[in-house]
Amino acid sequence: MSTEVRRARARQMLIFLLVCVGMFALLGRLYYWQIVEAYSGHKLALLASQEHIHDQVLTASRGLIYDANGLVLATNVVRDDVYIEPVQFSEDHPDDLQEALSQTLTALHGVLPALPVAETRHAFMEALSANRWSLLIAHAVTPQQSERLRELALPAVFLAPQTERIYPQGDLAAQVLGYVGYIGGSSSPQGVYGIEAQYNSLLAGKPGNLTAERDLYGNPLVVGASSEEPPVPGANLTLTIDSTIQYFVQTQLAATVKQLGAQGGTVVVLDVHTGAVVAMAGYPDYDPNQYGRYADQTGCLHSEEVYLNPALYCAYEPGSTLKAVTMAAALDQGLITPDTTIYDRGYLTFNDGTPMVTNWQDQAWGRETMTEVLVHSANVGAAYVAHDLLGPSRYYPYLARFGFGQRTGIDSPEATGFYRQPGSPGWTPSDLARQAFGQSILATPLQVALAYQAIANDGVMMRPYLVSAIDTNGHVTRIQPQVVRRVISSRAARELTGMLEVAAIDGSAQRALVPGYTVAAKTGTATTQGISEDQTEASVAGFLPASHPRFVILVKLDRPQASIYGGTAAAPLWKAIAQELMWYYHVPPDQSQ
Amino acid sequence: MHYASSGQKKAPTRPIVAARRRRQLHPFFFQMGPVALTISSVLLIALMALLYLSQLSQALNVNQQIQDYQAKQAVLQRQNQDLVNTLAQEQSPAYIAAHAQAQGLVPADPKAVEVLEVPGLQSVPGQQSGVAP
Amino acid sequence: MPDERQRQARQARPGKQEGRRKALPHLRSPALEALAGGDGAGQGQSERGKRGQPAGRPPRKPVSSQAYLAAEEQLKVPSLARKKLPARAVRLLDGVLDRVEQAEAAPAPARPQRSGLTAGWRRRLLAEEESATVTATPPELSEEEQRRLEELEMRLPRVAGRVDHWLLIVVLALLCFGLVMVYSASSFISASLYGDASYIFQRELLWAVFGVIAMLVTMHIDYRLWRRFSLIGMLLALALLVLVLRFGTSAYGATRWLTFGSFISFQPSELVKLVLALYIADWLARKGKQVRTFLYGLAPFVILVGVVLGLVLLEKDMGTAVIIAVAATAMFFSAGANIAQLLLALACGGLVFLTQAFRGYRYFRLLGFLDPFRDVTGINLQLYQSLLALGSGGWFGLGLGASRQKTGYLPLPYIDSIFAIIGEELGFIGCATVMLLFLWLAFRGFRLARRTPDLYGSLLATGITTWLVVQAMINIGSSTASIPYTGVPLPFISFGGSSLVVSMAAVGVLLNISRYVQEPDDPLFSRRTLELRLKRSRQRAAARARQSAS
Repeated sequence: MSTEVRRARARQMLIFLLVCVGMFALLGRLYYWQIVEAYSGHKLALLASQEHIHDQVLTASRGLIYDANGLVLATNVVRDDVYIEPVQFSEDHPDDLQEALSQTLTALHGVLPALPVAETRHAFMEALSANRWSLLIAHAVTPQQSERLRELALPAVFLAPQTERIYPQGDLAAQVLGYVGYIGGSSSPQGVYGIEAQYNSLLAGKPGNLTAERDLYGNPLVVGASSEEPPVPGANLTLTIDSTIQYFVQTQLAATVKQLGAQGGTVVVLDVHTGAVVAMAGYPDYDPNQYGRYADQTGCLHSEEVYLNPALYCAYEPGSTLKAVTMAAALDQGLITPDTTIYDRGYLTFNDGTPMVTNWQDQAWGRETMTEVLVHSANVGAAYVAHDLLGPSRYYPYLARFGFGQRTGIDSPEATGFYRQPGSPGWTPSDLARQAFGQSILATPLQVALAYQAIANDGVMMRPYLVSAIDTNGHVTRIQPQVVRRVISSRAARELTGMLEVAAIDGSAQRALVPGYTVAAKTGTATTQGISEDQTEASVAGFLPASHPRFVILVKLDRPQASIYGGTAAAPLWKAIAQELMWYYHVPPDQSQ
Repeated sequence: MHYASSGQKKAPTRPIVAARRRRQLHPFFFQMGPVALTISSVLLIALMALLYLSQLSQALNVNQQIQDYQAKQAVLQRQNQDLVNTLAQEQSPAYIAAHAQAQGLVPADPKAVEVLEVPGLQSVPGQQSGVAP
Repeated sequence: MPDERQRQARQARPGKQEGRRKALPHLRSPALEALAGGDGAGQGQSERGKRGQPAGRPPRKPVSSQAYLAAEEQLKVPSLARKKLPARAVRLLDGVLDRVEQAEAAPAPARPQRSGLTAGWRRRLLAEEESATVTATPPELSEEEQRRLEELEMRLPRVAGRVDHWLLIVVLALLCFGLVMVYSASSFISASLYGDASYIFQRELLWAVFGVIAMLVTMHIDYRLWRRFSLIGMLLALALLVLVLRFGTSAYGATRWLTFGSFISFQPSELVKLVLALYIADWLARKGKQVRTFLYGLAPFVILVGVVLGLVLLEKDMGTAVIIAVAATAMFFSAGANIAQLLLALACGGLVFLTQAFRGYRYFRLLGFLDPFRDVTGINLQLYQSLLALGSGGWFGLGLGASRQKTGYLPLPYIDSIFAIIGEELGFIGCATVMLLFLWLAFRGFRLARRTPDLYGSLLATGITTWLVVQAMINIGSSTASIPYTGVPLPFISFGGSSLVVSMAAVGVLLNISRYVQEPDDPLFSRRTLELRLKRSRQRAAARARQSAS
């Protein structure tokens, strides 16, 4: 018995020694993995860190754009893109690929009626042969469709959320706002044209970064190290545009253009005292929610893309509306008064080789005051004032002071217009004579409106602006109206206002008169670079109420067909807009009816 | 215990080994044997580790809650944005005009409007009607 | 006079005396037997259990039972110290001692050597130590007597001593460590699945409480009791294994569980390990010398273990099968198997293993094991993540609770890969602590096995210790890419109710065995033994020198 016990004891010692050897071998192996391989060889610690730590870019939300009343003009929404995974799908259905594909496509078509089934199937088979992991089959589906797809939970189909810029008011102020797209292969969306482009850096904010140890699903761990750079959200902008007026202006412009068979039109409404842009419309325009469809459309007499704001880009020859500027210059110089008379024979000749200037239809008005020159819209009178009275040395500085040929300083990209002046190549005194009545000078509608704003504002030109407030994270910066310069003296402005009032009442702008309000307006009918006599750019520029001006309105129609004169084509639109403005802003009438 | 020796060399020189008194350790004011001390030390250390871990686990619970809330917040933010969009759409003049027309309303005729001047009229504070730019 | 004192003592403490007498064998010192008549000693031994005196002997009252009590509890009893034997007895005793010495000098003394309680203690006291042999030569008893002796031994009630406190401390330390690590490793998954980070830990705590209760229960059940029920237990366990094959629920890719209700799930293969250890220890102890033979030793053993292995392998549980095989082999080996036969059997088993083990998915596991950094998202996912966890730990780890692999990267971090999480959170120091704790467990367990007086206890201790430590080594090995991956949990530390409760019950059995341990005459590393060995080797060297000189 004890032999067995003794032998057992010896053997148990042996087993214990084997166990010891095994344990120490394992200890050695453990040492190998934990100490030796941790930072050299396979670098296990580094591999583990790489597995856990991820950078995540935190996108900043783009700022919203509001109108003057707080209505949202541009906002962001999240829309899902629908993807299908060809490789995963084929792995899930090795035997019945086509049947399963048909079923899935039918189910998808039930939710997304716009899905082209045959094309999608073809694209799927192509992607499968190219061994691609995901294929986009629908872009930016509506929330209800997203919801239904989520409920369906089709295998190998997933939804990827995307933030989209959306303009809830459709094409309202589209050319002012611009749109947001991916241009030049950039990874983040950029604003293109208009406010979106001009204020892109403010609107975009700054993306942040989160570097953290994460769990398997990508969620950052609480107990792990993390460093976060919070994203800076984009600033919210408040525009000076009033939606109601803008809508009115846009719809009326569109109706007028269609009614007259014109090729386009522009309307600019400025606030006299601040220079704020109340409305700025152009026709044709586009829907920024679907900007891609308008890529091949043009505006401004087919010279520019439809995306560009014609009020800022479509430079034209203003025509007779510029006679006010000529008069302003002469009045300010003290060379004339509203009652200074000239004798108008219907033509005017010059002794420096300038070709003859004639009135419209060669009409001769005889003796007329300066006011009547405006009333009759006589080219002769204007040319006489500019060429003979003012001369180039005194005329052109006023053109410059009125802001022609330069940027207006509005917070939007714009064109400058152009006119030849002494010193620029090709100038002749004939340019001077013709510029007196608004030909051979190119000005954008905004420049013309701004000129009238200076006249209306007692001779002080304000800088036009579109953005009235910038809200960066609760910190609101209000843009204050800025004085550009004093263009003419207050006395000259008042005199000119009186002249324009009379011109409106007695002249061609009669249809622009608003009952109950004093109106100062001037029509303009410019033949396009002398191409033909009945292709005009009809415009009316003016302000009301004349006694204490509130708004400057410019209406311009490109080549109206049904009636071609400013007074007949553009004036009714001007009246409608003016009336709406007076009513909307509760401006008390200043004239008994 | 020993027998009376008769002088033989086998006389026992070794007494019965008395019971070994177990060493008493006196840590602070406890009187414990080493075994009990070791066992209680092990248990106490385990308890401390468990307490520490329970704090961590509270942090984990909160982490989980935070993630749930963040998921919910993302969903709510989406819904909010959609609602802002819908609201802006429905407040837009185009929408109002379209619906007004659908209900048979027509834009008011300015000629039919009579403007009454009330001298000294003050607007009710807080009520905005037509904001001047 | 002794009678008088005895009677007085008996009257003084009747109940205790009675109880003690019932508990104590009616031992007769061989020396006193020799006093009584000298030659019937061997006979007397075999009839030890009988009360009353053999016929023909003058009635002799034994020495006061208080003396035996005193000797057992090793208390200094002053009354005994003052006591003096009558001179006649002393002279007789001296004569007896002389004869005892002579008997010792003789190669085969007449009586079997009993350690501890009986003749040995007095001999130890009175004899010269230098002349005492370190190990007494065993007496020769007939087979019949031996067998009957053994059966008697098995039935003798005995007093339990103290539990081996180091073993208890080690197991408690492992258990607490396990609870803490399960809490840490499961907190993330618990929080994300159940919303409460301590959900899984609470269940583990419950199972730990049951485990401690099981340990306390088995600690107080005399381990020889299990011999009677081991066969029934074995049959029950086999039945459960078959049941699991039919009605088991599967999880984690294997069908090992029986579920009752929604919370209680039970793995019969864990219970089989303990029951098999009990049964095989009993079987081997009964076999005795026949273990060396092929027909009655190796063959039935192989068949028995093979059946169990087969059932376990049908559950696709390779790890448990390996553990059962190793533990059974260890028991067989220490029971006295023929080395040659055993090696042959091992070789055959190894061949079978190598050919059969790597079929199907296990083949892929082997391929993956050969290069842990290949196919890290498929086959080697768990291994690769374990290695990353270990590598991130370094010397001191990332700190308790700060593991990142447990947040979804490492699958089942609180069951099979908990060692990797220990490595990540507590570093090399923590892992080494666990391994050293298991090594200490092995040390205490084998020490226990070597000190157990009976073969059954010794084999049982061997089996249980081997099972626990080999399971730990297999789990650690598969976490450290030393062994292809198996699904074996780390004992005491991994999450798992059946594993924990069964392991704790096994430890309870070990602790119970430790209560009946007797200090050997020559503990391996005691100072006395070493001195003696040194002296003896010097003596032998001197003798050889003298021989060579002469």
